Amino acid sequence: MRAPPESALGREAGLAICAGCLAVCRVGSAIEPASPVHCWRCDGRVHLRIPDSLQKTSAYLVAAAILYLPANLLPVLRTSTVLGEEDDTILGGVLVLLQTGSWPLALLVFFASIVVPLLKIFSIGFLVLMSALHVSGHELARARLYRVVEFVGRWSMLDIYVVTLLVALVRMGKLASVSPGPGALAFGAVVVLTMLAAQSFDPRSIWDPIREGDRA
Amino acid sequence: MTEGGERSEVYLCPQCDLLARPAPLRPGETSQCPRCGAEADSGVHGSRLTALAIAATAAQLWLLMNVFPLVSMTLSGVRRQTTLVGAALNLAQRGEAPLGVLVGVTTVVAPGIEILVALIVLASLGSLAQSGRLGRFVRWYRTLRRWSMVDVFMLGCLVSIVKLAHLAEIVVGPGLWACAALLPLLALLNAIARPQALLRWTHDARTA
Repeated sequence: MRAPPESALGREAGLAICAGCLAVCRVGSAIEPASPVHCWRCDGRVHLRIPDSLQKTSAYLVAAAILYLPANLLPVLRTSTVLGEEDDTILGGVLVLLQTGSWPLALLVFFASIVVPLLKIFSIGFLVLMSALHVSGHELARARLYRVVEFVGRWSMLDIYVVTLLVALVRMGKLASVSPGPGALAFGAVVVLTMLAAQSFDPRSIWDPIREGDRA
Repeated sequence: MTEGGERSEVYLCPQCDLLARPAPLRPGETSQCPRCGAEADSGVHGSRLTALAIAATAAQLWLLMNVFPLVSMTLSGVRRQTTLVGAALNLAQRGEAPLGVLVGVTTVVAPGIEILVALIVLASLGSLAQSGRLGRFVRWYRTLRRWSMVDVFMLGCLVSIVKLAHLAEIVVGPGLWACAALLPLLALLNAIARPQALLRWTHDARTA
């Protein structure tokens, strides 16, 4: 890829890339055009920037941050055996894995279920804050952070699948049975909300302040 | 700018809005955006027919993954087994309908439609481009792919098996083997059948 002359940006050329099919579309230079522009290839809506990106992203983030608490404090699994009932939170599940001697898996679940959602909430929050304040500097690092967050986000679904399988398999009546706890739904919501937050964040807003600084 | 035209004359970075002139790529090579480092393009790794064969195999494995039990567990003579759909339905029946839907969509519906759309696109690339519907399929494919999580599900199965293995006798069923085989195929399909590759194949078909 040839390094371009300093002036070449899509927004200034009135070009935008279609989020749906990656076609380059002519949209004009208005951020909010009078009539909606549709992609010439896939007919989806095309925008120079994701509309209301920062508001949408923060809304998803706040919701995710609130639900992060019940997701981790409430039990995701309820195990009943002849010996009695036991509630397991996400962290409890990690400890069980650790006790059974499979520490690599315990570490994996710990990262996927506890560290990644928290890291996502803080990272996207940081990115939104920097973009909202039009801060320039460390753009490359922030762009990388965004890509990492987008890449790892889906792996938090891990615990939802574990709950699904345990609940489906351990149905032995009085002997042993596992049912989903109230934390599971909250946890699923956190995963979906953080994914939506990552998708509604516009990474171009990381780079936009550079040009605004030039013009000023 | 016509549908199925040659490589796009410009590169516009979806992540930083840089407008650049794409340099020709050798097969297997990938290029990065010079401004933000986002992956820009990769040379075509395979042909349309290779991609079609992969998609067809993936479709069969998807079917096997859904029809056969994933895991079976035996405890004190009682045997329980579950299929993927069964596990999602079981959640819904036990008062966790939203979770059941989430699991069903991310492991059954999204991967299924993802494979189906890939099959349709790869099998009828020329006529889709002619009628101007190719873009729509590409959009659906890219949207669904984000919510298709067979890889995460596979790992979830492994974690569950480890959790149960010391309590009961666990036998891995054909469904899980199919799931394991489906993983690399989906990854390969995503690597080969990129939007840029589709457009190149369309162009090749036209000029041939």
